[in-house]
Amino acid sequence: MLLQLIKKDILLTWKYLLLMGALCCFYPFFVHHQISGAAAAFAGTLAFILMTFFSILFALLQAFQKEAMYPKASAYLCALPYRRRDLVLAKYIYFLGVYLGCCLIYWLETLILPDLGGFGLSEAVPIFAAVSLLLGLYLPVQYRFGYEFTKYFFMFAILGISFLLPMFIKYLPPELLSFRIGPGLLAALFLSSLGLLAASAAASVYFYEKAELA
Amino acid sequence: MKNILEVRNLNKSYKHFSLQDISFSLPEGCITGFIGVNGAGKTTTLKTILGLTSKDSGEIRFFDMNMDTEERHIKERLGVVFDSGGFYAELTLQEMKALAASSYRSWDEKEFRRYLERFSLNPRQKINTLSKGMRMKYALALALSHQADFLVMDEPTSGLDPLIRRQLLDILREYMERGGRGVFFSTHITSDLDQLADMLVLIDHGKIVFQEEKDSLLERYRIVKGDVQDLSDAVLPLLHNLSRTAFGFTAVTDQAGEIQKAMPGAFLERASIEDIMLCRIEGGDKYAASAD
Repeated sequence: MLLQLIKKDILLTWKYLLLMGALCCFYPFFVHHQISGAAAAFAGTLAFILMTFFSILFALLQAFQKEAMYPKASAYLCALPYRRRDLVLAKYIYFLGVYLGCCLIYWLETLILPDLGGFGLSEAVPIFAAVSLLLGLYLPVQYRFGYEFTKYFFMFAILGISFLLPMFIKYLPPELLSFRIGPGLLAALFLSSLGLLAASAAASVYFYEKAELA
Repeated sequence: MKNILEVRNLNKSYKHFSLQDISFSLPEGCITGFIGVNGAGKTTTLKTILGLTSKDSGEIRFFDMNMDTEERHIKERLGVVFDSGGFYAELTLQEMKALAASSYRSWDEKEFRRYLERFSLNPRQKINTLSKGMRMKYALALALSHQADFLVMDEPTSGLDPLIRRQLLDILREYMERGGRGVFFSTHITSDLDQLADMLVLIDHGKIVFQEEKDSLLERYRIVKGDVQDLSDAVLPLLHNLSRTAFGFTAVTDQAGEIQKAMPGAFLERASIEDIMLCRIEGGDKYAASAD
């Protein structure tokens, strides 16, 4: 059941997914070409962070733009035996799938270009935490307030965060910034991200179950 | 006869519109037309009974099961057709079918293929390349391929040419041949119901005006034509939608016997569903009876 709902999101956004997949492939190579030596590994990780974050953000915008284009289609699905919960959870799984796709692409690239540095849990988990934060906030707001509001709200929020980040970053543990994170912190980060996603999914389901469909 | 759908005291309020104490029940074996002008509350009622919008109060029961507690079981047995389909138009017929079919336990792929062939629909075609009529046929194929016991259709004939409308009505008749089923069909094109409906439910300004068998309504209402001089104070309260011209008057009545006694020279003829609808809704009396 969920599989078909996820497949539907992939079918509706496949052009965009191909484009972002190509960019995710190309960008680390571009960074590697521009920056060599000791800085290459850090630049590679930075490229991975940026591409993953923007892939997820654009996937969110694209998927919900399609839903906004066909408001009667989600009403039709809810008139079938699908539960609204299924529709919401399928979206979470789809976006986590985009994250896994980004990880897979970058991991393959680190095998081809060892200068980019290694790719393991100490890179994947902090990005997972960032992705969880993005999804964890974006999706409940989307299900509560709809596509247009959420799009502009997050555009301005991300701009604001870009300014706040340098002030906030000094309070982060140095090992988190250097991606040399101990297993304890990694596990804590991973579990708290899962917790955030679970709470966010519960809030999204709650909002969508109350939503008036077209 | 068992009821397939029972709606009791359904209330739903919006800022500028509300459904007020909507109550009706639909027996099995019946095609019911849900009529009313645009904005009367037909779509809101359908959306509320399907659980697409929340209700403020009231009870909705399908097949004697409560919609609040057994929504999923109920929806397994419903076929739903929305105006213009309600599909992701970028998907192909096959892709949209896979999405709909995976929600049903009793999906019948052979039946679906049979409908596609009958309607000359290509499963690899994209939905956005279908005409409105073809979309409606596709929506019907989806709604009829899982052994649905009750079809709920929102304005299915709106914007369709007469040939496709006639085909749709034939399919609905065929669907009803197997007993124990029902169709609930909202429309403002009342001529479709002249041939098809067994029962009519009229809604106006969010309130149910009547629920009645079509034949008994058509039997009771008459169009009256006569000389303006025959219009006395005694007969005026018996007439609706009265229109006067230099040549005479036309009106609708549900008191044919009284009119014949009071105006023996008047002509009486059968009224259409549209005439009956217009004489029963608020503001409809501005419009004269249509028969000539």
